[in-house]
Amino acid sequence: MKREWLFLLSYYALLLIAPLGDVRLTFLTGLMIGLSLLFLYFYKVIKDEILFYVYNFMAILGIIFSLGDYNPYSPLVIGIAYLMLTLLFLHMVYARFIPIFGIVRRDTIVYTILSIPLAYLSIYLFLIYPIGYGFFGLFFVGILILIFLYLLMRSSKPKKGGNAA
Amino acid sequence: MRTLHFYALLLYFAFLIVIGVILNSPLAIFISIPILWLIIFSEILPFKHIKFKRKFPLERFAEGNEVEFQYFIEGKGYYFIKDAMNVVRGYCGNKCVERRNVLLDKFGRVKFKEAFVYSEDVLGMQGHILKIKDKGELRVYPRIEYIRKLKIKPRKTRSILGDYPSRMKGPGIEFTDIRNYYPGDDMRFINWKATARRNKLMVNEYESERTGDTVILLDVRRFLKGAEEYEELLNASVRAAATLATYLSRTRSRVGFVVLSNSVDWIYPTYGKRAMYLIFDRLLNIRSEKISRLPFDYGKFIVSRFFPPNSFVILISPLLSWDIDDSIIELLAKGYDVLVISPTIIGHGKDMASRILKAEREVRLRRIRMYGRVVDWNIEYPLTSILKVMR
Repeated sequence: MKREWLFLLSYYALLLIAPLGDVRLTFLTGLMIGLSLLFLYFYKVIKDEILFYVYNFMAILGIIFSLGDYNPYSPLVIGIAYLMLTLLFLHMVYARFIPIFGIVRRDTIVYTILSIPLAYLSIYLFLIYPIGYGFFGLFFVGILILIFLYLLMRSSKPKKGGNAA
Repeated sequence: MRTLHFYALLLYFAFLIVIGVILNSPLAIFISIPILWLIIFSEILPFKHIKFKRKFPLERFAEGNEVEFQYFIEGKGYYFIKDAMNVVRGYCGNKCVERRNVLLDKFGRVKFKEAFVYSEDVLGMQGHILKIKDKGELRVYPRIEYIRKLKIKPRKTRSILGDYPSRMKGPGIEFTDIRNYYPGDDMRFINWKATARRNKLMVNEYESERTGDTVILLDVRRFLKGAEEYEELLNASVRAAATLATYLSRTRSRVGFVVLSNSVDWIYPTYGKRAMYLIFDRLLNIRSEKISRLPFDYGKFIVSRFFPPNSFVILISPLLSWDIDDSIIELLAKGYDVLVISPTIIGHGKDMASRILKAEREVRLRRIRMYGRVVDWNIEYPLTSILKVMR
C-alpha cells in the first residue's frame, strides 16, 4: 500500500480509538469518517481536486469529536490532536504532490511537520502566561495575523518568460 | 498565483475558527493554528517559477532508435513540464538538468508546438502556469528491412540504361546467347572457346540492362485508429512501402509514390535518394484517423494520368474495399505491370464480421491472381522473406 494511504488509515484508526468511552462521540466520529470516506470515493471517481479538500476537511473535523470528551487545554490532548493532524498533513502532502510532481521533497515534509511544534508553542504561550487571560498568547496571535495580512496584501510582480529551445 | 491548496487551507483555518466558536470547542481553534503556520511558511519561503530549455540531436531517426532529451531547468520549486514528447517533473533548487532517454517506437513526425510548464513552491501554495510557444521537430522514419537483391522487377523497361535486364539485347552483364560474328561487332564479345569449336568467329550476346518506372501505390483507406489489428496493418504497410522505396532508390529506376488515405497524394517519379526521402516524408504524415470513403478510382486516375503506361505498379493494400479488384484489372488492361502486396493478419478475428471480410478478401485475391502477381503477406513474417522467393 502506498505511503499516503497508510497515513490516512492510521489517522482514521486513531480517530476511532480515542472516543471509545462515549457512544455519542464515537458515533459522531464514525459519522465524520464515513463522510470523509464518501467524499474520498467521489474524489476517486470524479477526480475533482475540490473533493480532495472536502474529504480531508471532514477528516479534520473528526478530531474535534474524537477528542471532545477530554480536557482541550491539557498538553497531552493537544499533543494527541497534533499527532493526528500530522498524519493527515502527511497524507495530504503525499497524495497531492506525488501524482503531480512524482516526488515529495524533504523540505516539504520538514516545513509541514515544523508547523506542529510552532503551533504547540503558540498555544503554550496562549495558555500558561497569566497576565490577564492569555495576554501574550493573544498578542502573539494578533502579531501573527498582522504579519499574515501583510504578506497576503503584497502584490507579486508579473514576470515575462519565453524559453523554449 | 495562489493555488487551490492555499485557498483550501485558508478556508480550513476560517471554518475551524468558526466551528470552534459555534461549538464552543477550543480544540477546533487549536488545530487551526498549524494551518496558519503553513500559510505563513508559504509566504516567507522563496519561490522562483520554472523556466526551461530543451536540447536534442537534430537528425533523422528511425523507429527503434533512442534519443536523449536534455532539459535545462531554472527556478526554485516543484515543476511539471509537458511538451509534445515528454513529461518532466520533479523539484529544482536553482538550476538543474534533466535527461530523458526516449525510445522512438512509432514512426511519424513530432512537432513541438506548445509546452506547458507548471511550477509550485515547496508547500504547494504558490503556483505558476506557463504556456509557451515551442519549436522544433522530430522525424521518426519507419523501420525498414534491408534487401540486397529482389527478384521482382518490371516486365517492361525504358530505353535508358539501368539495373533491370530487358528483353532487348545489347551491352549488359546477363549472358543470353551466342551468334555469328558480323563486321562491326566488338572484339571484346568474341567467345574464343565457341570460335575454336565451330571454326568460325562467334560472339556472346547479353541482355541489355535498362531502367524502369516504378510506382508504389499505398492504400491505407480502410485503417481505423484505435483498432489494434488495423494499426498493425497500417504500420506494416508503411514499413513495406519504406522498405521498397529504399531498395528501389538504390536501383537506377525512377520511383513514384501514390498514397490513398483520407485524400490522395502523390510524388512524381524521380531517381535515387531524393525519391527515397520524398517518399519517407510523405509516409511520416500517414495517420489512420478515420475510415476513408475515397474510392480507389482516384488512385487509378493518378497512376494512369502521371505515370507512363509501361510502369511497374507495386500496390500495397489489404484489399478490404470492394472497388479495388476492378481497378487493378483496368490498370493491367492499360499496360501497367501490377504487383499486389496484400498485408494481412491470418486467423485474426473469429467473429462473423471478420470471417466475412476474410472471405471477401480471398475472393478478390483469387480474381486478381488470374491477371497479375499477388503476394499474400502475413505481417507476422518479414516482407523480404516473401519477396525473395517470389518470381
